[in-house]
Order: sequence, then structure tokens, then C-alpha cells
Amino acid sequence: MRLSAARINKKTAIYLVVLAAALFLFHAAENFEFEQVGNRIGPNAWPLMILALLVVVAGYGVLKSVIERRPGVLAHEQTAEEEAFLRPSEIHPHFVWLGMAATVGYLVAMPIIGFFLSTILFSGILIYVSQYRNIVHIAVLSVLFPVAFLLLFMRIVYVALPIGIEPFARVSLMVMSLIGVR
Amino acid sequence: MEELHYLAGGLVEVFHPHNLLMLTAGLLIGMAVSIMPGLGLVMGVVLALPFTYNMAIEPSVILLTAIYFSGTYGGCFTAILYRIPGEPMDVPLLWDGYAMCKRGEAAKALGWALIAALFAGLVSSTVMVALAVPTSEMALKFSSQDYFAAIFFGLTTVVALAGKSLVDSLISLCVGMLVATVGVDGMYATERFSFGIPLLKDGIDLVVVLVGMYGLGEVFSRLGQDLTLHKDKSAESKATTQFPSLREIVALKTTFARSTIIGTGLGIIPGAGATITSFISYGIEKQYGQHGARLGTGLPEGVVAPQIGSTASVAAHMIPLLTLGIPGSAATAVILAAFLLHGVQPGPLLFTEPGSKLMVYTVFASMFASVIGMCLMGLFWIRVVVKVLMLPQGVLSVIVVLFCLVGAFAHRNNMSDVWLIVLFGILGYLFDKFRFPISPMVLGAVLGPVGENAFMRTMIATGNDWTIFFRQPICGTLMFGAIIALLFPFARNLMRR
Repeated sequence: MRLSAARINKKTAIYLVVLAAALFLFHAAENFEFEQVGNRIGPNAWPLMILALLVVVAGYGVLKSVIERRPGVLAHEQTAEEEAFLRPSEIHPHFVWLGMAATVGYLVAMPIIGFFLSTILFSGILIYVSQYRNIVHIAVLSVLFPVAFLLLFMRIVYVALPIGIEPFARVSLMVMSLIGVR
Repeated sequence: MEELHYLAGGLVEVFHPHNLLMLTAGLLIGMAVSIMPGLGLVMGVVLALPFTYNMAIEPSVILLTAIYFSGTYGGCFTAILYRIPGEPMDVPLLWDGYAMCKRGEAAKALGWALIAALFAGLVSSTVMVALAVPTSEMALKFSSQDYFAAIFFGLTTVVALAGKSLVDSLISLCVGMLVATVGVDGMYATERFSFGIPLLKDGIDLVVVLVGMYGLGEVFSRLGQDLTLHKDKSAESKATTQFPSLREIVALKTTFARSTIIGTGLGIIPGAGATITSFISYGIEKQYGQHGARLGTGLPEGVVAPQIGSTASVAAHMIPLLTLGIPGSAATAVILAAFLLHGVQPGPLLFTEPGSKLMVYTVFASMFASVIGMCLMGLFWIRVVVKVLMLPQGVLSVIVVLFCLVGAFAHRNNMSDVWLIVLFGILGYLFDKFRFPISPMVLGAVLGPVGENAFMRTMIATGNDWTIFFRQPICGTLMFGAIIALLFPFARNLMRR
């Protein structure tokens, strides 16, 4: 199975990003503020060693991916079937970004509208994004999940999940009292 | 003899109701997660971690090790019956297992897998008990430079064995070690890489890295893939087990012995996870087995070798974890996190106090019980367990994400941890998308601080003399081993050309 030229270009770009980040962090580590004790090595010694290695490796990666851009060089002996099982290809990248956006939105909404209401919305969206299309099932599961997690974490593990601000807090408290969480 | 006394005491502890409940739960969870593509035993161990916060150390570790053990076995059912490998380690199983199933020998293939898992689990657990005390006694003599060299050796083997590209593995490892340096340094109380962001000042919790990279990252990756499982409904009725005869087992004695040596031997080396040992066992069987050339056409050797390879590695991984405090795989890194969360540092000192020694032997005894328990479950409950395949992937994704986020919140009741998990989830997705191996990153985050501590102590004690690492017998040997491990991928590539 051969890696495409586009993949190799992407890989070069990634190595370049890693190299730039490593150089930036190297500079930051050189400027850590600490009190030098005799000739002892400072708290930046370990990060500097790691970053030096990272700079060398990323630099080597850039060179290697540029030199080996001709087809076939990065080919490996794994069978297509094995590769498909181990690493299925991505065919819906937009679902991934939607899923990430929904997760970020969930975290923003949770302290405002509370765990119960935000989880209803988030579960519904995530099940839909995960290519499940039975609307009735989605609706039922979206309500069941927050109830189950409230029960599990608030009654068994004793974790205080966010209830949100008024007026949403009232809904959270009502649900909690209905399922016996005090 | 003293070890047997502690092992018997440990066995009694295992049969305490709470411990037994955790063992059973762990076995069931391990089976379920290894059957479902997209989950896997590491994610199972990660997701169970938050539930151990309020438990004692023994049931916590019993739960996690039971998930780990049965996670190497449960996947054989879907690989053999449906040609669906729940985990990458199950891929070699389906080549011969599914071929046997198509010939109408599914029950026999499952029987071989069961016998292989039972044999591998019991033998490797015995080896683990036999090696634990000598290894811990040797580890007690370790100086800080020896300890650093052992960690350095562990990190290099992780890199060498983790992926196809040494460059990608090294980058992954460096990222993990850098993540572990974020926050206030313990020796000088200096802020490192926090850039004035309050979220980063306290450092990045290991649980956040594990849950984000393995849990959320995997879900994000799965969202973009074709989630339809094409399974043969008629195969469900074949979910029975038929044991091979004693004569058939004896005929495969070389395969049993060879694969057990490979699984246990490689498992002790950090980095060789169950997937690697499974593939190597199958590869060696193909190369040196009596019927190697016919492997892939539905031979029992093709089921026995990878099953033994993966199951035997579990107990072997526990040796460096419990005796040196060095996790050899992603799952043992999570188990180490569970120890640390309970204020217990695994290492040779665990074997010096009677109380902690009994705790270690309870874990050992639970592993014997896990092996027998998972085989009994495989024999009697498998028809029920394979029903988890009916669960739509979308529903599973929500369950995993909620467990990741709420579980992380439960750790410190802190929304900052949850935000960090999402960040690491996105990083985990990008690692997967661009084919960077995740295990070096995670093990770098786990071993980095321990390595830094040993390195700093050595440098202070020797006046910055780094040649000490090469001048003394133990650390010199380990550093030599590390160099060999780093050169191994280059040698492998040269040999292939």
C-alpha cells in the first residue's frame, strides 16, 4: 500500500509545524526564571534535552519526507486488508469536526444550562452525527443518558454535577428530586 | 515458600465479596470492550479508572487487571465468528479462525482460543510470580543512575516497537515527555511552559492525557469512519465451544511452548503490547511452525499462536510495573495511574512491607482468578456478551464521551480538566489521522517525570558527570540495551531492503 504524494506533503508540513513549535519552546525553556544553585543544572535542563531531540528528529523528518517523495519509497509490506482493519479510512471528515464542535459547545453550555439539559442536547447531536438516524430512538436515548449519568454519578459516585444558572437550575433540581438525588 | 504463603493469602483476599464483584465486573467489561470495534481494552481500562477513585487499592487494581486480561480474549469471538476484530491484536486470529468458521469448525476454533488463553494466562502468571521477588530484590540495589537507565531503556524500546516510523514514534515520545513538564517543577518550584495560563500552572494530570488521547480521540476518529458492521447473523448460533482432544493439544505442544515464550518474554520488555506479541507470535509460527506455509487456510496453530501471544503478554507486563514502577504498555500505564491515585508507588519497596506485599500478591492471585474466570465466561456467557455488537456505534460513542467527560470531572470536580480532555481528544484524533503512534506519547507522559527525577538526582550527586551512565555495570548494560533498541528499526529496515 503506497502513501500518496499529498500525504507525504502533509507529513512534511506536520514535521515543519513540530520543528517550529520545538524551536519556540526551546527559546521559552532557555528563559525560565529560577535561582541558580552553584553549578547545578537547572529546571530547564530536562525540557531542553527533550526539545533538542525533538528539533533533531523533526528536522530529520522534514528532510526524509522531502527526499523520499518519489512513489514507493514509503510503501510498506502490510496488506490492504490488515491496514483496513487496523486503520479504517476517514470518509466523513465533516462529522468529525461537527462532533468536536458539539463537544466544545457542550462544555460551554454545561455551566449555564446545567448537566441535564446540556446532555440531552449533546447526546442527540452526537448520536445523529454518528450516523444513527432513528429520530424516536435518538429522542428517547437523549433523555435516558443524562438521567442514567445523574443517577450513577450523583447517587453512587457522589459527584456534584453542574446544575446551571436560573432558570435552568430549577429544571436540574426538579429532575434531581424526581430521581431521588438530594 | 513465603511467596506461596502470600499467594494463598492473596487468593483469600480475592474472594472477599467486594473484590470478587470487581473481578467479575472487570471480566465482563473487558470482554464487552474487546468485542466492540472502536473500544478496546485500553479504553475499557481508561473508562473504568474514574470509578476507582473511591475504592480501596486492591479492588481498583483487580478491576483494571481483569479488564486487561479478558480484553485480550473476548475479541476472539467476533474475529472468529463474524470476521470483525474488536482490537488490532485480534487481526491475526481471524485469518485462520474465520477460515475454520467458514468450514463449519467455529466451535472448534473457539475451543482452541479458549485453551490457548487459559494456558497462556496460567503459565505467564506463574512466571510473573516466580520473577517478581528476584526482580524486586535486584531493583532494590538500583542507584538513581540505574533507575534512569532502566527508564531510558523502557522509553527506547517503546519507541522502537511502537510504530513503523522511528521519527513519528520519537516525536510522539517527546510530546508526551514535554506534556509532563508543564506546570511548577518540584525541585526548583519554577513555572515551566505555563505561559501565565492558570489552567496550566497546576500541571497536566495523567488521567486527563490518558482519557483524552485514548477515549475521546478514538471517538472523534470513529465519527469520520464507516460505522456499519457487516455481520453474519447465522454466526450467532455458532457461538458454542468445542474443546480439542488431549491428543490434538499435545500435537501442538511446540506452538504452545514457542508462543508462550514469545508472549511472556516480549511482554516483559516495555513497549511490546499485546498487539505486537500477537502479530509476532503468528509471524514466528508462520516462519518456523510445522505447517507454517499453510497458515491462513484455517489451521488451529493460527488461532493458538496469536491468542497465546496476546494473553501471555498481560502478566509479563505486570512484572516491570510492580517491581520497578515502569509500565510496559498503555494499559499498565493506566494501572500505574490507579496506584498513584491511591498514593501507592509501585516498585521494589512494595515487596519489603508485609502489608504492601499482601496487596501485591492479592493482585497476582486475582490474575490467576481472572484467567479462569474469563475462560468460564467465554464458555458459558459468550452468547450474551456478543449481543453488545447489536449496540449502534452512535449510542456507544455518546456513552464513551460522557464517561470520559463526566469521569474526568469527577476526578477533581474541576471543569478545567474537562477542557483539557477535549484538547487531548483533538490531539489524539490528529495523532491517529496523521499516523503518529499514541502509546509512546502516553508512556512518555507517565515515565518522563520519573526519568527526570532520577536524572536530576544523578547529576546533582555526581556533579553533572553524565559518563556515570556508561561506567557502571547495571546502568551501562541498560544503556547498551537502549542503544540496541534504538538501532533495531534501522537494522530491520536494512534487512528488508
